[in-house]
Amino acid sequence: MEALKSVKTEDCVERPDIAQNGSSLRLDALTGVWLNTNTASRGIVKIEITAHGSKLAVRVFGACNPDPRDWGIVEADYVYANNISSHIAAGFVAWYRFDFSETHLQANWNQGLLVLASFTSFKDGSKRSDYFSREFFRQ
Amino acid sequence: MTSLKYLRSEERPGSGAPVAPELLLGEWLNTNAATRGIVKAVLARTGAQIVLRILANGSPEHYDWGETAAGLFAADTCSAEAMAFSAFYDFGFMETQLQGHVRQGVLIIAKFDRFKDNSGRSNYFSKEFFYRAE
Repeated sequence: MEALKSVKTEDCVERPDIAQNGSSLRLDALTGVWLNTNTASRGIVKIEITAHGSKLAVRVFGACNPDPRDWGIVEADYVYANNISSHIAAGFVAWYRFDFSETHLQANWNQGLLVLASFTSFKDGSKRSDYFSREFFRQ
Repeated sequence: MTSLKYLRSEERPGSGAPVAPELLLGEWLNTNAATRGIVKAVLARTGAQIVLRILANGSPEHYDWGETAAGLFAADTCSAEAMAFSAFYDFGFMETQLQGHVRQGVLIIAKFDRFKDNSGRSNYFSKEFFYRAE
């Protein structure tokens, strides 16, 4: 069997018969409406995730008064399983790019919760610090 | 005075102070001595940049991933202290997005590995925990 390239031991597996390269992951665990477990969140209050073939569409709603702010829909850049041989989607990364800021979302599913890390950088010279937040969502 | 644009309530204020990296700098060792993933992460200042160096489990020797620039993030828009980083490695056959944050003295690193070699390996997510070396 041919040894595959790797940069850590956990990636050392023998070449499987069928190449799928992450494109055939089952997306069911990630799709649906996800609500922040913290109802007083000042960050992201809701995420809507839908599947379109092998792609995920992500729609984020930020905490705002009087109504949540709809960030619009973006396509997840990549979808991830929770191990190298799994075919079940358990995470994704996506970018929101606005004129004054950009946010990189990195999400993973864990025991029924969607854990969402967001890295926000400001581009507007407002002197707000780039910041990280991590929130938990339930269905 | 113009009001700042924001997408969520927590983005309103700003301090203007530069973000200090000290909380993240140093050598971090995996809490799991038997890890098959990342053994050690080192964050250091190189000029004006903060760089990450990863040592990953391998046999007979560990893999040195080399240095890559790390973007720093504070806990909120007013904070002047970095508590998280984001970094990226591209090895050609695969790429890894790393995101780390410190919580109660533990550095938590999430890895998003994506294979580009049609090897049949699934892209996957994993998370490991690190403590600061003495």
